[in-house]
Amino acid sequence: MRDAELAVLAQAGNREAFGELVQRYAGQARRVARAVLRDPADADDAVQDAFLSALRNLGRFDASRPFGPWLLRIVANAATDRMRRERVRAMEDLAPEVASRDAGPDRLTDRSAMFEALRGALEKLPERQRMAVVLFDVEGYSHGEIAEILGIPEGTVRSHVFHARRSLREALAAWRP
Amino acid sequence: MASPFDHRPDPEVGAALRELLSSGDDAAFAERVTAAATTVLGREMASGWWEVLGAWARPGVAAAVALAASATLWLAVASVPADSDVTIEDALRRTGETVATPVLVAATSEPDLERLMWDVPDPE
Repeated sequence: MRDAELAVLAQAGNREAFGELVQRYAGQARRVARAVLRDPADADDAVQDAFLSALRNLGRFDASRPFGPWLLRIVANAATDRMRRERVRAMEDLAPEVASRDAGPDRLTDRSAMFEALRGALEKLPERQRMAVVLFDVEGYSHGEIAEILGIPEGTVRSHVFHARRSLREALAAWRP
Repeated sequence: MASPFDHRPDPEVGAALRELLSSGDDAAFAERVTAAATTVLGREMASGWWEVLGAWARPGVAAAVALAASATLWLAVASVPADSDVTIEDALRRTGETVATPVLVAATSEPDLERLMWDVPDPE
């Protein structure tokens, strides 16, 4: 069944239809939220809030357009809002965290360390760049769709993807054989 | 490796990010969200029904009040003889009013303040 059909059923109160939509998009939504929020639990809370918000606002969804970008826009906003709240809350802990992230290259010797470095590089990017590169390189959305999701011009999306990729490739370069 | 200018997804960056950001429990998470939707929206729908019922009830209560007021007025009017010759003076007399009505009704000048206030106690 198509997303738009499921959306219509979900809006009418069909629990299974809503569950199917959640299953289809849970992975994408969680990755986008985790690109923004460091704590996976916070990311999941943001995604849950976004799905519930989407369910309440299914009446505004234009069934002639793809469901994914519409949903992910809500997810991106939910994650960004939560990150801003968390940033204010965690301001006092920021300094020691940054210090530990800047540890020397000796400890970056295994696969988990590679992901730690990648995570560090990702976190240094502005949130829009993070979401843009994840939506483009991981989820396969077009620049136009990402522009719609993030509410920014397509040219800005291209720029964000370019800059984000460059930073992430630098972080990955140390582990390339 | 693809150029940063590529208009195609970068498989290396994409795969690394996917592995970094993915979680293996998407199905359990989907169940959690669906359950939350059932709980939260079920509560909202219930409160929505109360609002609907309340919205229906308000015009009904207003109509009942208006009907009762109309009936009371009609009964009051119907109980007074049509040829009643009750004057305002009679009405005031029944309530114990002692001021001569014609004075109240027919006076054309302002009342004397000294006379009106003579029995007001002095605040000091």
